[in-house]
Amino acid sequence: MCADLDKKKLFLKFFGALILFLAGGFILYSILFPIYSSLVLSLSKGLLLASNEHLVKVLVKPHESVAAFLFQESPEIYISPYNVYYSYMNLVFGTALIAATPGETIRGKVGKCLTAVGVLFVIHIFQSFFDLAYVSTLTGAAPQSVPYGEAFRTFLREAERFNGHMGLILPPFLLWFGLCHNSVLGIAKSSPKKGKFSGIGRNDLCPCGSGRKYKACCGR
Amino acid sequence: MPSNVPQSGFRIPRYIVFFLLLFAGLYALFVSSYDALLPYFSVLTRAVYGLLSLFYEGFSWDGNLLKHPSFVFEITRGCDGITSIILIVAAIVPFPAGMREKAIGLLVAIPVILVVNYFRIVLLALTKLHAPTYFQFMHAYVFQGLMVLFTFGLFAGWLFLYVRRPG
Repeated sequence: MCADLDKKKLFLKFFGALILFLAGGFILYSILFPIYSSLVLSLSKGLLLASNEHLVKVLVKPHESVAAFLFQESPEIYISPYNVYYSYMNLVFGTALIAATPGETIRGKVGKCLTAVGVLFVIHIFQSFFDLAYVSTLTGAAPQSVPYGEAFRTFLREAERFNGHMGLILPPFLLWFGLCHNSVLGIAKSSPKKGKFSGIGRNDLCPCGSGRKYKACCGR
Repeated sequence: MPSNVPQSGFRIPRYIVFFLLLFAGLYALFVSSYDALLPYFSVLTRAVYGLLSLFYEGFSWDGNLLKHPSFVFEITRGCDGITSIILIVAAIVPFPAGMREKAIGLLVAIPVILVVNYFRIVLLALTKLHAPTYFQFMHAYVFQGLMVLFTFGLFAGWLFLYVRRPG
């Protein structure tokens, strides 16, 4: 069936492009990620220090997946390496999905990819901040040194849990829909639908040349 | 395909708002109903045991614990594929497609995710058995990434291959 062939071709084109852009993204972000990660960690460090006057010293090793933090009473805590991985994968998947989506110009795709990176940058700063703040509440050695309120602790715990479940998959999906909604909805709209060939009876041969009845082919 | 850009600017934010609302509701249900998922974990554990015991000796199961003389493997929240299901359901249900397309999408996607997740657990148990040093890497990084890719692929497959926007 012509319509099915077109759909399959479009899907294979999208999925092939997605795999290619994912591979390219893995290489590109492997090079750029240390810079990105250091910026995210530096800014989240600043946010953490500004949010809690009891945290007098924060040491960050931005080029490593695990950064050590020192507090007033010196219990060491660590940023979750999953967050670094999640940030990396968010960037790779978010931009690859946008780049692979049909119906966009190259210029439009580049602009949307840059927008996605910018949005992810802000998300990752807060994600990193919440992760660090959460870990700081778990330091058994001197929990009183991190006097966040109980409600904020609960929020941090739930945010951590949410991030563990959805941090990898939700941001790229939302960005894809948020930035490419016209194209995504356009994919659905471009599919064959009733009335594509006006004036054709349901039991006539389909004008696409498939040899099937219109009602069983493009008119389905 | 600029000609396919919807003319109405209303439908797009509505879809995203519905997506977020449904997603939040399903996620809240998920985190508040851990006990309700325990039977599913037991069934999953037993199914993994059933397959592994065909090829390997020494496996046993107890509740959501898969046991082997060299390790104990707990199947718990996060091993269930539910996050992928939540995302797929929240994406498909409010999408501007026909009811039949949505129903078929959900009826195909949910079992497929559960089956793929089942084989993910089997492969993780085999990793734990044969290459325990790589288990954490495979569990936390490789299979999570693959599940995300699979979920996107499933949604894209439904969207590209099946959806028709109501005319």
